[in-house]
Amino acid sequence: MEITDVAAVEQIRAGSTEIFRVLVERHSRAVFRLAYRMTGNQQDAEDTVQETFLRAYRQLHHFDGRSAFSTWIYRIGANCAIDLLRGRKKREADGVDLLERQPAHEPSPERLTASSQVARMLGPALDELSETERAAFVMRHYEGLCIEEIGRVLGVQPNAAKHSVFRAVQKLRRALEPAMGMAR
Amino acid sequence: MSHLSEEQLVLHYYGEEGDAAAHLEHCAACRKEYQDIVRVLDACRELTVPEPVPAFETLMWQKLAPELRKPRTPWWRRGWMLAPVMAGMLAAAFFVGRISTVKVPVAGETAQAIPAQGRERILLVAMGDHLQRSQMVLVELANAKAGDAPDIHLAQERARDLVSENRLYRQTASLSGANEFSGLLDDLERVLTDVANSPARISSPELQQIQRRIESRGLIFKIRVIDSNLKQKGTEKL
Repeated sequence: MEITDVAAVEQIRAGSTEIFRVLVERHSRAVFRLAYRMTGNQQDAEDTVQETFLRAYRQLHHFDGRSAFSTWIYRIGANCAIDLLRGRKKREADGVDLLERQPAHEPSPERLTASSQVARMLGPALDELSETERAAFVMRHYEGLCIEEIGRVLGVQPNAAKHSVFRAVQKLRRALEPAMGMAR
Repeated sequence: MSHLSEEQLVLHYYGEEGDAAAHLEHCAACRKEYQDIVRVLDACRELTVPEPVPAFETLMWQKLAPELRKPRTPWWRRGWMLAPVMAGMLAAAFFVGRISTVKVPVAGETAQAIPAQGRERILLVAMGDHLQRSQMVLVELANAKAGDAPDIHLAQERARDLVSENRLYRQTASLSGANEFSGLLDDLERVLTDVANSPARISSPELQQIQRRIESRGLIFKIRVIDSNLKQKGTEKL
């Protein structure tokens, strides 16, 4: 029978480090998806996943089981991605990263065929959001978290989370609507 | 009749504004605005997420497992840790002091200036030492031959030691607004963490990936430049 997340956590706490593999295998793809949407970059997303599980392992004693393990690891992942975005913005502000940063990755031929002008503009438009706006938007729009949950993940009041989502939508509208006008 | 705000329409799109639906039925202007929002937000769903590399979960586990198996010695028993910790504390004290110092001359300022210089000197020496040791690891890896399962366990052990030191320096530099340092240390930390978490005998593609990261970030060159600047500063402080 498949071991539950809670049982796995208990066994890891009791010293069975190897069981952590179950949690990595079960949740790393979901964290990767979140991280990719937040960072827009495959390498950064992989780094974020690694850092997320490392932090989770070290903070496992904080996991009290009141929320699902998936929610807990998701929270850590979102915060790791925010840390990474903050570091990246700081480096860009210093002009250190501008030439080095690689684009998200080369789009596959299928992706190129399917992508519209709007889709191509979406990555740069998301890059223009602040890290909190981007995190809030990704969690609301792609991951379906409610405003209260987003507030909990970001450590802010629901009202602040709501405004982050709203500001993100405003910026995206400004960036994308001209292209949508052309496409009509 | 008052119209719905853009915020209410956005919340309605996400199903968090229950009262908007009735208004939209009767208000053409709000309906038009709402349709524009829907078009943009629906278009945002075109952001596709690529599939991670094959056997992603296994790869992640391979990177994590060595880190998890490391014995977690209490910090007070790690004698070798004390030097960088002390240096970090001094650095933090120095930077905090620099930020919070009022620029109006006050009595006793001269007396405080000497310990501050001493602290800065210690920081420069400790930081320079850290960068030199990191550079040696990176050079070793950059020059490693990507043969059949190369053994990098020695570089890996040193990388593990350097990661925690590096984190301390990075956080200090970041807090103090020394962005040039914190950017470099951030890049360095990511490579060191990668190395520390790799298996002792890594595959050629994994080694090549590490080598590409070292090269693409120009890490060795940047470390040399900053180390040289630190040495110069340290000499000036003597």
